[in-house]
Amino acid sequence: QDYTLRIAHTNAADEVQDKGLQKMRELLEAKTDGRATIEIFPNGQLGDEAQLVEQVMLGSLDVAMTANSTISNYITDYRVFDLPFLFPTIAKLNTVLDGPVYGMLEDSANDTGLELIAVYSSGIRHIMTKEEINSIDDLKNVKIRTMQNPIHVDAFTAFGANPTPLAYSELYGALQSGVVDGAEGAATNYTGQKLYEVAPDFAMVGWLNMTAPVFMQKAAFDMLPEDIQTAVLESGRESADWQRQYVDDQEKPLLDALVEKGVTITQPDPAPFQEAAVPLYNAMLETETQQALFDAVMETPTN
Amino acid sequence: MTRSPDLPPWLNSVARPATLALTGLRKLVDLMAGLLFIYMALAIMAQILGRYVFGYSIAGTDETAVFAQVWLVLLGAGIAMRNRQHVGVDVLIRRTPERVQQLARLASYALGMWFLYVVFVGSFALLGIGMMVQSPALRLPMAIPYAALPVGMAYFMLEFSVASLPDILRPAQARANAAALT
Amino acid sequence: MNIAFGGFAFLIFSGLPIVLALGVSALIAIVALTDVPLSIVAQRVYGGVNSFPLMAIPFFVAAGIIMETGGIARRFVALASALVGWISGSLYMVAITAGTGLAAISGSGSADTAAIGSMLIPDMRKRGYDVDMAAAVIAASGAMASIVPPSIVMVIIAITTNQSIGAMFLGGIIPGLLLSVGLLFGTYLYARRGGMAYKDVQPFSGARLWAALVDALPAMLVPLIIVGGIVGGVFTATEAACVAVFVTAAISIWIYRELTIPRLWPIILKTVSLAAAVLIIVSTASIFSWIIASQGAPRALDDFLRGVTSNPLVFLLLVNLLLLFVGMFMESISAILIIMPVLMPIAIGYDIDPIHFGVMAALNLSVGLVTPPYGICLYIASMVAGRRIEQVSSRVWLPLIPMVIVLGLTAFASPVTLWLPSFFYD
Ligand code: NA
Ligand code: NA
Repeated sequence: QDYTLRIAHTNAADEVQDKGLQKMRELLEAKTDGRATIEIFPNGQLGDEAQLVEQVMLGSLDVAMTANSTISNYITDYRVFDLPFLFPTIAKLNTVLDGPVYGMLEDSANDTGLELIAVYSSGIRHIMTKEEINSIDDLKNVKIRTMQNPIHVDAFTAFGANPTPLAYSELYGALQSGVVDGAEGAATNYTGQKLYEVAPDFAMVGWLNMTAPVFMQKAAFDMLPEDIQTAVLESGRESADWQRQYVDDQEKPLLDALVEKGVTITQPDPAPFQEAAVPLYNAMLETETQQALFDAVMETPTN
Repeated sequence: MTRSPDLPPWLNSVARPATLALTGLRKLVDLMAGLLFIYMALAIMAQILGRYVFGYSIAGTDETAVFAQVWLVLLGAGIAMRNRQHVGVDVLIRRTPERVQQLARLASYALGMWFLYVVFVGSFALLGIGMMVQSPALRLPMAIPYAALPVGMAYFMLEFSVASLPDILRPAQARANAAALT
Repeated sequence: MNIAFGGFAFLIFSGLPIVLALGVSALIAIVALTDVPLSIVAQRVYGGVNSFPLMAIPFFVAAGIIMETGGIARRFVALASALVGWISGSLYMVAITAGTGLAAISGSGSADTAAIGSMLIPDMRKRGYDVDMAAAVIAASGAMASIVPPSIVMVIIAITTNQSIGAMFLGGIIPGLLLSVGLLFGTYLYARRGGMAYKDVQPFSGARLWAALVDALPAMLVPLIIVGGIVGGVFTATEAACVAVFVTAAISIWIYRELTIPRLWPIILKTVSLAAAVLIIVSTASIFSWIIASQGAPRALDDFLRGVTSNPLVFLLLVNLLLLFVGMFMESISAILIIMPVLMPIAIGYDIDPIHFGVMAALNLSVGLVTPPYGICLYIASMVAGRRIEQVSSRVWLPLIPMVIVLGLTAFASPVTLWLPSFFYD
């Protein structure tokens, strides 16, 4: 191979995000007749998410994939995608990313010296608890573990919960022992970390459709020959289409398996959650580009 | 680090102010590191009390406590060097002829300084990012924790030199010291 | 990769502090093997200490120093003396029993070894004990701090492999007690045939035991608060470590009255220095693990091991031999940071429980604290005893035999580690 791109992320090997990168490798090799390939470093082998972003910015790593909530600290326009209830379904996310929004995302990345290669999905996030949540009222003063992201913290404050940011590695023990009463996450996290053992109620709120952007240093990208550039971008977008569909297809069987394991799945009315989240939108949109991106997302017709 | 009678007078006139400056700097670094530890302990205590007494988590206690830890460790690395608390194994090297020991000490010092210097220089690239990027919780400039790197490494290089150079420059003295210790 | 390990092996014996030896050899490997900008080194140094759970370490270090200076350690030794001072080889018994008690407060072996050694070695010498043997036993008594919770080594294993710190702590309790019993039994057998010096004992006194127990009672609350608080869901491991600082200080100041608030300042300065020496190694070791990972070592080792064996027991045996070897030369925290991220996914691939694997590694590396040529507990015990490390090393077989037996038991009988956590964590 003439070109090997080194890609790192912090998800486990063979998790949904990793599967997308494997698909991208397959596509890239096919498109370039094997001249270009990617080498994947899963599991945070090369550092945590913030470090991966900075390694890409400083040129010690070719490509990184992080949660949107991490990269949005660097490409601040991406904070729009941290807002709750922006895309209730993967289908809606697909429609938005197929439209003019994708170009805006690419421009925002370029402004930070990065090249956007793909936008994967980390799944739609729901709420897991030790007591059933049938409506927003059941969440009152319930201690919910969130990521250390102010939008996530504010969202759960708005839902009436008591958000408690904790390290992910402490989560299982914290749920088990009652340091927190619940957490938010996708069905994949819930299953993969066996969190259902200690929080057997899963409320399908769909409060966040979390994306996982894949990006490269722009200067390094520009150094690649034009045909390789095209192949990288194409295999990025095609693998992303495939990956988001894969995440969507996977949720139903995962939920069925959870029910079999004794998990109680509830469907609270999402409307009060969405209403509670609206004031956040205004507070979080600080710049014109963020507002423009937000408007473009909202104007995308839902089919 | 007291005035050495065997130094030439011109060197003594440099050494004395340098010694005073070093003593002052060490006091300052100790003060900073001690206060950082106290801040960490109080912040985590506030986090626990916040959860149980007030029923909510106080924003940013964990984030600022980690920043304090970064500063504490990077400053403390130099303090530990001064206190000879960085362990090393010299059982083998102590049995080699003095000439070899001397060379090994010099090489170790040069390599160690090279490493610390690379960290020092590299930290400016990070500081550049840190000027633009804010911390996740409190939106503080990331330059605040990143600045611990160049400051800490500069102090580490200083203490590493103070600890290593006398043995390298005056091997006979070093051997006498070693004999007195064992 | 050979460059990194070869460079390290060479530098480690050149007398360069380990923290710099790790950094330099990683840097040489980066320059020789890659073309990445050297800012990666600064990034990893920062990333190494930018961790909330790691904050448990400075707190456990502080609690250990307060315990050593504020009267808690002395009361544990007095209690141990009242408890087992009537048995042959009484001072060995006291050292091991006190070491077990102190281990339940302290997160690392250095403070414990220094405390027990400085209290017991003068007496041991006076009674005519073999001082080198005494130092070796005291080193092992101190090393128990890494396996009896709380443990700094376990905190780091749990963080680097994404496991629950609480579950790992619980997993360490039974191996820790087994180790204590094993050391007591082994030294007793030796002392019974070891000559007149070891027959010198104090008669057992119920009244003395009662007085010592009452005196030590406040201090015995500390382990209860730490482990009980984590397991009971009152706080996380990091928070528990912070609480331990306040509680040990409060007991020393207001109950034992052996410490004053102004005297906390020098303790804080000592903490800063010791904790930084531990944590800066986390930083330089993380450069080392970065270059190893980016050269594809995890996959290569995985392929290699799978080629050698498909039997998890053989795998465990190989890992233990590897860790024992590494523990002879390397400081335990850097060993974990470099090796555990590589080994843990492989272990999980063999269906070995990660908590079992992690506790086993912690126990193995606490054996490393007493194996020559490099072991921090062995160093401190030799220093306190005023003997050369080579002299003490010649007697280290006595504590090592029970240690290795307990290690084998822990490695191959997983209930030893998993039974206690199973009540709380699945
Ligand atoms: Na311990
Ligand atoms: Na050792």
